[in-house]
Amino acid sequence: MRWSDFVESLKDFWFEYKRQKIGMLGLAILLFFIGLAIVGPRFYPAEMSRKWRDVTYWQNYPRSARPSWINYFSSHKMPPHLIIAEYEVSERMIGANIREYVATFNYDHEYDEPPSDLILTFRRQVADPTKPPTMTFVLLRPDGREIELISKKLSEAGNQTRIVITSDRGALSTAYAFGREFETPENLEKVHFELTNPALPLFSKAQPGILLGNEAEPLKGTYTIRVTFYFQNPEDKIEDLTLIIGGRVYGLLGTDENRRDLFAGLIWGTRVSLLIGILTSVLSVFFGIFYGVMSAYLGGWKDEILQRIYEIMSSIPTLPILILLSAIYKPSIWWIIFFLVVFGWMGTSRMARSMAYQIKEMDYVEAARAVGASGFWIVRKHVMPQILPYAFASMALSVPSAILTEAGLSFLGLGDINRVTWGQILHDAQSTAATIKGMWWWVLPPGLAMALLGLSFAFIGAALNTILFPKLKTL
Amino acid sequence: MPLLEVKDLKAYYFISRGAVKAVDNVSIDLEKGESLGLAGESGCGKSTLGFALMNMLPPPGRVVAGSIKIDGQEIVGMKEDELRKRIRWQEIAMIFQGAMNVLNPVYTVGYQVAEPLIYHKGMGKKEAIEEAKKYLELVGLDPNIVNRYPHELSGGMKQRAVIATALIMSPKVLIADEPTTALDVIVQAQIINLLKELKRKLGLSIIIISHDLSVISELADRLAIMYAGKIVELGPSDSVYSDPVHPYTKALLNAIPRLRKKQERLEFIPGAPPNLLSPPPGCRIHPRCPYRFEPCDKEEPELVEVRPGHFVACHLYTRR
Amino acid sequence: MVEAKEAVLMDSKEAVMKVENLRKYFMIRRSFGEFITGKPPRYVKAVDGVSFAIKPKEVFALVGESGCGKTTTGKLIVKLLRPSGGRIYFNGTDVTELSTEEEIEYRKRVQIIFQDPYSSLDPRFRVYDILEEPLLITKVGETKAERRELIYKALEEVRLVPQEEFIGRFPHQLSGGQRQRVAIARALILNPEFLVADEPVSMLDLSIRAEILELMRELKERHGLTYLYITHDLSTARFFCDRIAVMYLGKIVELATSDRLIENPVHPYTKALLIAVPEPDPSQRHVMKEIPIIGEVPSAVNIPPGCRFHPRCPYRFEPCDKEEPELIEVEPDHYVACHLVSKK
Repeated sequence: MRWSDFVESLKDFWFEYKRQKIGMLGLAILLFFIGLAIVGPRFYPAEMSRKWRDVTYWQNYPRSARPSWINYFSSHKMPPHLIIAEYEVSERMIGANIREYVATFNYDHEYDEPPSDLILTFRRQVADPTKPPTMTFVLLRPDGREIELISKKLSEAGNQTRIVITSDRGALSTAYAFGREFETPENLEKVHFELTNPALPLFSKAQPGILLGNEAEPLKGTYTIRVTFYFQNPEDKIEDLTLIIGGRVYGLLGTDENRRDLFAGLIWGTRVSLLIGILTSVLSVFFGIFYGVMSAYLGGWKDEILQRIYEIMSSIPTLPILILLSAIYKPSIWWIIFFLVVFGWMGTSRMARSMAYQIKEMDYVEAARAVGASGFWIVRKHVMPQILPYAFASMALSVPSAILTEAGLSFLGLGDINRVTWGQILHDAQSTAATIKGMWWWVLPPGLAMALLGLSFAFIGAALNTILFPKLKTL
Repeated sequence: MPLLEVKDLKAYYFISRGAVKAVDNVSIDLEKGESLGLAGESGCGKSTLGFALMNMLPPPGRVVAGSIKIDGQEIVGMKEDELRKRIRWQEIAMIFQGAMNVLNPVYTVGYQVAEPLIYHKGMGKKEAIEEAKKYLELVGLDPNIVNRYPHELSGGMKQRAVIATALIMSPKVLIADEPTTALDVIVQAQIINLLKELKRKLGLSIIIISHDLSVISELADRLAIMYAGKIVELGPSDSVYSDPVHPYTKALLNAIPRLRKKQERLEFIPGAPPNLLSPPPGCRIHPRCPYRFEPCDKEEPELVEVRPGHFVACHLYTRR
Repeated sequence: MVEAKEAVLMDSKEAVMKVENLRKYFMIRRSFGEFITGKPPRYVKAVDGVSFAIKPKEVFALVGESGCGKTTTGKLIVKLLRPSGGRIYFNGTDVTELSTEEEIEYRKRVQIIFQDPYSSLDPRFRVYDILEEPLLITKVGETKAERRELIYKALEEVRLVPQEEFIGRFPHQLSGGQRQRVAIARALILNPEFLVADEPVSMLDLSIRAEILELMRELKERHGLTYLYITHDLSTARFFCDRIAVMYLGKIVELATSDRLIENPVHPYTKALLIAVPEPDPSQRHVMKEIPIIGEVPSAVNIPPGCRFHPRCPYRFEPCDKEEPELIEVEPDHYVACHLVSKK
């Protein structure tokens, strides 16, 4: 086939494809995902994929936050995730040796829910570890009330400090005590110290119900957070001071219980799913065609042997074997792709073999053999050009099963642990009972993405079939 | 009144590039007990005419105009339901080309022969198969083959079974589309014998469609030659075979290799039949006709009677 | 038996193509059960001891019904199949076993035209590519220009001119007659001396049939070709061929010049075949044809003992189901294998 003929037939093909509505829909969905896989990582660093399982990497993200766009659909506004690194500083010396360093943060709370977290991170440079600095954390509410939540000596080893105020026991009891003052005795009956979110009394109106999640009224306005350090050594320093107001909504798809950004996971999962789906189907279809054509071309007892191998392979139940292999070897995705190819070429090979046999019987093949054409010549010139279009349809149709099989393995916790995949996101959701907790933003997006991507290939494959197969019939 | 009367029939296939005028203004009639041969090259519209007579043109084909009367009953425009209930297979039946190769391999021959009775007449299966046995015997088969499956039968036997299926509702008209193509010579002769016998025994009116003028001559009382959707010559077969009038008919007859006559040369008609999407203007054969003259590419010739019952559509006879 | 064969091959020294006791058996695939139980394999004896010799510039016809082995014989001659037994001689040399180089040479000189012009041309090839393929395979025509010249010449031979109009077309853009011309051009392009024409016109319309036969005859005159014409149609065989051999179930039953075979058939099977051929003569339409033959061709797996034709023969007598008749010369150049002539 000449190049110009090839271009011509591609044009014809596109002309016909354009008229297949279902195929165009499939192509649109596929292009969307491909776009996601290409553009997404520009905004989400590759680290996110590699450190998906690294808890510390995600510690500054909010826990179990909903997608932020839900605020548009609800009058009950949720606080977003804020990372505040801007603050006013005032310094003075107290006495000869002690330096007071005050950082003042402002936070406008205009939401109907308290933040999920208050986290303070900074790095300190302390000249003499035996003389650690002291720190206080004071919250100034819009109603003028002032609460000192933390007051402690920074004596831990290391210079990276991360204080989760909302998890600090001291802060917790201070906040609880603050709330108690305004609470009615009946309400106090219903409250348990252990179950109270410290952010609730801090960001609610000082009135009865302050400790009850469903009765507390949010106190809106500007909050001032004053963090004061007392350095025993004037040279000591604080760097990268950051206040994180943990949001209840985050990003496009929210976060999971391990604070991971689910949209980042989805994007990186798209890459993996596309890679697995396409690579597996391309490799298995090519191998299947190679095997089938070889079988038909060799014929005789060689064909018999190849067919017996084919039958044995077809009769192996794929999923159990894959589960076993994955459980034993904890494979990387390359090995998973390899396994999927090893157990996925049979359908194509059957089809390729029967097509090759049919073509082999055609008179034009006999005519070529009558002038002495070799088997290789016949395969190259007459058999392959006819099987290849079929191969493309077959590839498209085999992508969904590859994606789903990988997802199945990941869902069972047997995937590549170094990469995010949709299946793993679902696995994590499953193991923390996300569905029971109503965390739909954790479960639905990967599930839908899988279904949509699978559907897109199925649509494309169906369209290819309707275009290519009537043609094959007329050969 | 003729048993079958076709007037100005037009049957077109509508495809994206336009209308394929496969049957264009065809008029024929058929008396009871008469057989008519319909001959022409492949693509001349003879099979389309057959399907149109059954009023079962496969889409995108459609009868566009004209009338088909069977026993005085107009069937063009008749509701599908009524056609199925009263006309098809009961008044007019057809043996499709290659039908013997599409017998369903999973049903017995008896069931397939009897199926029209069950389907159209609502007859019980047992009764219908008893009836089928009679017809299998009529076409020269052992009635006991009702329980056999198609693959157990030879080509000739299958074709006989197909004929039995067509006859089981005792139609008045039988259309046979290439009834002997793909059969070996001896089987072909046997099937021709069978059709002759059926015609005599049952007083059947038969339309034989074939590209093979030799086969048609064995069966047809009258002969119609079709070219590019039109009938160019129509007359008693003796008259057409012994003294053809149209140049195309002459050429076709001279192209037949004869078994019992030493021929030095075979004549042939150069070129190929036209595309029926846009047939040539005037007489449709004129680009291939060695005798063409001035009016041929402008005016379409009408069928005129040159001898009693013998019609021809050629300017050589109307203009000269 | 030897004598009879010698008789058929009398003029074998001057023969272009000679086959001697040619046989081709196809093994029927056994089921796994049959294989395990050691059931002996059964064979379809498609060609079972065929001998004939074709003279230079002769057109030799093999006529018979489907399944008689005529196509298999043709494929054996062009070496698309390996014979199970027997010899094939081309210009006096045994070509049954050939070295690779000899085989390439043989294939250039012996070519085949197939029955179905729709399946004998690859639908994805343009006419140019179809004709170039044999040149590329046999490495005839070293440069592109040389090959182009050969292709143009071949197209001119089959009168597909102007060539430019045809070389770019795909088979589906050609009429049936044009396709068969392309197929003939492909067979001719290597300049063979012997052509096997396997039912070359049976799928074509009547008017085109005549055209192709005339073309083949013209090519024969021009290039001194020798043909093996395989057909089921005695009428075209009479028109086109010098001698006709009638085959039945893998064997030749009668062989004579075309005129003698048709005017004076001896074998009951030949007679039946001739009677069965329809004639374009409507005067016979009210008469039933008496075809002196019983039933249909049996399968080539279970070949009847003795004379293969005896179960269908209305004249069979005592030795027919026991002894196989030999080919016997009943008049000069007219051979028949029938006990009616050998035993009575």
